[in-house]
Amino acid sequence: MFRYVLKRFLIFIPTLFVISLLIFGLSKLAPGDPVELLLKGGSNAGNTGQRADLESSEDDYQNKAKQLGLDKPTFYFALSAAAYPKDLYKISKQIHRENISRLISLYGNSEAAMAYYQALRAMQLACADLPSEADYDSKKKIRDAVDELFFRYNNEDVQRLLDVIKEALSHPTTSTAQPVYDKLATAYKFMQDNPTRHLLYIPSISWYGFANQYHTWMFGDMPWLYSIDSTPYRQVADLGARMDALGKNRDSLNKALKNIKIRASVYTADLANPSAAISADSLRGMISQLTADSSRLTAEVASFNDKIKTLSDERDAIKKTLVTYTGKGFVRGDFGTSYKDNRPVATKMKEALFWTIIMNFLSIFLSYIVSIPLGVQSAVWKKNTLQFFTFASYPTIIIATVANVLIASFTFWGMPKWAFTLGMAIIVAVMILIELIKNTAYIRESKGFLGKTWAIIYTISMAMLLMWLWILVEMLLAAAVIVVMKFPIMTGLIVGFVLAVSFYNRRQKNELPKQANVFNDGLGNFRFGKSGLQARGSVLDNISTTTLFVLYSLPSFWIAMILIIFLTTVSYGLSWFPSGGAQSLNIAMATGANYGKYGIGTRFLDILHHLILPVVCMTYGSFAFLSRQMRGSMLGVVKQDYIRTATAKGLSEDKIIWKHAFRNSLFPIITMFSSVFPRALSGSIAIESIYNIQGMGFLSLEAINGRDWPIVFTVALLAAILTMIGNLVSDILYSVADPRVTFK
Amino acid sequence: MLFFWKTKKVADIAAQEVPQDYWSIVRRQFAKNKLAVWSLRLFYGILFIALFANILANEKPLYCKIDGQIHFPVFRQWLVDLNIAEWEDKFVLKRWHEHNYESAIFPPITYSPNTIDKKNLTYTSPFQEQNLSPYCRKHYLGTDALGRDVAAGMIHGTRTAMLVGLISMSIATLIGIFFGAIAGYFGDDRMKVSRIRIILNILAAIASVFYAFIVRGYNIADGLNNGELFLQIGIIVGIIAGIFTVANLLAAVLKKIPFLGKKVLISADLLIMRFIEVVNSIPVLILILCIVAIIKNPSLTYVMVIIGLVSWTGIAQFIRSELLRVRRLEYIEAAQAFGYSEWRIITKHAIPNALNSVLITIAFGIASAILTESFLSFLGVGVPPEQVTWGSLLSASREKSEAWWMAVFPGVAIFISVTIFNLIGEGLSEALDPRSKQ
Repeated sequence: MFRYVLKRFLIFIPTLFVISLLIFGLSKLAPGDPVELLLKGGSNAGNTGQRADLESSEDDYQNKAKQLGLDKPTFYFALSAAAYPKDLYKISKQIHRENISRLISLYGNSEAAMAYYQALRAMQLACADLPSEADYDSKKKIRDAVDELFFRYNNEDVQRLLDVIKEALSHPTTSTAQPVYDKLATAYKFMQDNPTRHLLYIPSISWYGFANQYHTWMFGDMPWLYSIDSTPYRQVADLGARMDALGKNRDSLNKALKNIKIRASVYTADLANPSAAISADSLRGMISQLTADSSRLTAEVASFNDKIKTLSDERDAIKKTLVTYTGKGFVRGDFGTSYKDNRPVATKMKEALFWTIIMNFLSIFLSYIVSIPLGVQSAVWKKNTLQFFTFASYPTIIIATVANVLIASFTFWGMPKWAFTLGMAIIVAVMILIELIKNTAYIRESKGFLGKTWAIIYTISMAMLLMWLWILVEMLLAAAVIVVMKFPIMTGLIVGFVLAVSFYNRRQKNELPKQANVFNDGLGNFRFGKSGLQARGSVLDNISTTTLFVLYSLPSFWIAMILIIFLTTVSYGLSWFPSGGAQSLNIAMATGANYGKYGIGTRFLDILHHLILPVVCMTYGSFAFLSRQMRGSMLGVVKQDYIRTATAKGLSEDKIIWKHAFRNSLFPIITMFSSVFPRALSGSIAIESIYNIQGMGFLSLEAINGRDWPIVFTVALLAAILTMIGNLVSDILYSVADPRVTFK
Repeated sequence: MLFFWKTKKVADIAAQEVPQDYWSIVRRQFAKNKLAVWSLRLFYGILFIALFANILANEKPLYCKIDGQIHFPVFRQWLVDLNIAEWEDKFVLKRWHEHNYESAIFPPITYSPNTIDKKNLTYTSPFQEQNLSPYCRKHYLGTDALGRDVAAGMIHGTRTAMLVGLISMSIATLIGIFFGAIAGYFGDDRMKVSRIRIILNILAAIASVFYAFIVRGYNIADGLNNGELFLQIGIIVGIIAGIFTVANLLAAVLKKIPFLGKKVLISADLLIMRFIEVVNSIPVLILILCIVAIIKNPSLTYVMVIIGLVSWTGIAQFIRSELLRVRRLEYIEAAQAFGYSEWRIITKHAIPNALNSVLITIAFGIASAILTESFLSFLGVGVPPEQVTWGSLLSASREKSEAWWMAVFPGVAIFISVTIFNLIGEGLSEALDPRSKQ
């Protein structure tokens, strides 16, 4: 057993590796430059055209890329054509890198392509260096053309842009950039004239080592064994803060200086046109005063600048020794940061998991606890239709229906909505109670702690099942009433048609010999006759299997829509449930002093009220599927000889079913268990987005639509891991259910 | 007494006349399941709607006489799509319902899925008074926010759904049969390959990755952006097939050298089952969402191909388990004794015997493919916005919950098609089950 689990884990690792590779590959194919996305165009200063701006935006870009680990090669090794240089990844900007690689794919000459790229950058700087009095239009033309050249590779496009630059350079004020342009044009020409395309078909493998993007993503680049000394980081932050404070002071001084200069210029102007109000002497005095002030302030500003300079030097010195870490890596729970709001993915997912776990727990619990007994029961239902009701007594049904009708009408009489939920809870409690009382004898009879527990669970689940059926019946009734009220003639026609057809059919059938029925009636008295425990082919069996089948085939997102339309919209008269969200807004928003306004009971009922519809949608499908599986395997088991032996021994029916047959029929349910987690996740995508519940499914759909790849790929990888864990768990459960299963 | 005798005689006569070959038995078993039979008939009906969607719902008339000339616009559209013919100017300039026809026959539903009826904008209910242009019939199932006819959308959505179901499952079947047959027929003990062949095949795998994907990386990307998915797949498959053929021909020559020709046992079953395990632990829906969201120009072909690429494992497992049984049968041994090649035994003798069980998986697979596609278009991911599908119709009802017809009809269509395929699968699995044979 232990060895088997160990072996499974060893298989687990390569599987995980393959899947993580797949998802990593997809994330690399995802469009968009993460760095640009994170900088959000905040550093588009390059477009203003100043050399300093260009350089600073490039710095910003490089820092961000370093933070994200994108300055590293993609993988441990790369299989590429010999034409591509090994260190292409060192060009930090993604668009530039892709453009160079495109150019290489066209001409196969990496050195020429790099030379062209360098010439292009020189051209960009030369354009930025153009004197400010240069003709604005031509300057703008050059700048735009150069910017476009960075992502153009087609010969026609490049030629067109080069021509545009050439034309703009003919303006006399911009001719300083002419030599740089000549170099660019020659570089491009050289690349075109010296292609080495054969290199594109020669494979080459280059090894990059562990400092690569995949390794960083999976395992992180932070040290594993010791924590990082954070003092230098704090020093940098500290210095930055101090510099900021000084900068603020300096800026206010600069402002004052500006004011003084303006005043001085005003006085100088006044001096030129002397007026009676102020004498020339006093003006002169004031001007000299202002001049003195300004020189003092200038000195102060200079000293501030010096201080800032020393601080920034100090900071740069420290910064040089610092290592930029990308993160701890996937295996250590660091999933990166969201592109949308820069928050860690792990935090966002933790918040979203809350609702998903609640809903899925409820839905899985409900579907298992209801479907297993139902499946077993439906496999052994007797031919006698009335016996269906023996597993749910009449009083329960009557009480439930009456109570519900009362409560449903309360909501129309202006009772608060949560009263409805409370009523449902009471009904469930009452039903459970009645079932327990009804089954006391059965519970008392069952032996041992396990047997007793099981008897109680069985009883309770029967009550739950009843609630299910009741909800279903009531919805159908409500729908039928609405339909009849809205389209009376139509329904009349349809009902008439159906009745006519069925009447006709019955007449036809009556003329046929009732061979099968005679046969069945004869055997129906023997509880464990030739056909064993099973009830295949009876009317009730047909109805129940068809219902389950229909439930299983109903797409949950459609049912969710239908429920939301017909049970939450006022215009259809049945606004029983809230139309979205997991909590009422006024309750969810109540914080601080208001928080106490709503007790825990109110909160609980409110959440329950909101979650009923989504949980119903998530549950019914798996409920139907599990019941069918359970029924199928039970039918298979019940046919076997040892069940007949047990019958012959005179064991009670319950004992045969639950003690002998049940355990052996558990296998498909166990297989199902392995797919519970991924199904839960993908199920939540639909339901949560329809009901507007901020869970995992909602988060991942939002991330997919918003191109927030870190979240998307984290969800995908986690779902894959969960599937694998599910497989492992179901393998182990196999051996628990059946000791004959051995692992070798 | 009388009718017992009668029925017995009838049964005897029936027994004499009924053919006893495998497929007729299966057919008889299948016919016992009334639901499955009706599902099959319904499937034919749906297939009919899908095939003739253009004739059933179209804004163009089937036949029209205008200015003394006779036209067949619906059929001409096919020629136009094939670039054989062109539209006359008057048909391009004027909307179809605005002409003055001398006589015209319109399809039952006089709207194309993308026809915008300006007189019935913003969710016209099927029971509401509708203001109709001449030549236009009623919107039987209402309209959506833009005044597009829901019935036309449903009919063309049928085509989409069937295409997705059938194409994705044929891709899955091809892949599944390939892997399943290798794993099942060779098992862990029958695949003996010479050393040189292994080496050359590994080299060929690397080379084909290089030449099919890396060298042509930009061509593939550009091609995909131009919507040439199948062309690109064809080129890729061609290159890979070429490289492997060359490698294997070379191996056939080189294995004459004793050292290189030494046989090594490969456990094909183990390898393929591991592979299947990996594919099975991929969360399909999330993977599809990821891939589809990455693609720049969404198109249904991607959805089909991706669904096909991830859902072959069930078929492979079925084929494998069948072939593990079949390969022990005597006629396979006889075929081997005749000296037939393994390839011939697998394709001609082994696989046909295992194919029927695959039908079950295919039926269920189509159901789930249709469900996946409608879910994707419901979410609005991966399907172009102008493409009308059941899922996209359904998602329109999210914006206005009063428009019940936008929710009910497409949902019923999805439900029915999923159900019939499930029922057919169910019926097949009962009919093909040897235990239920009589």
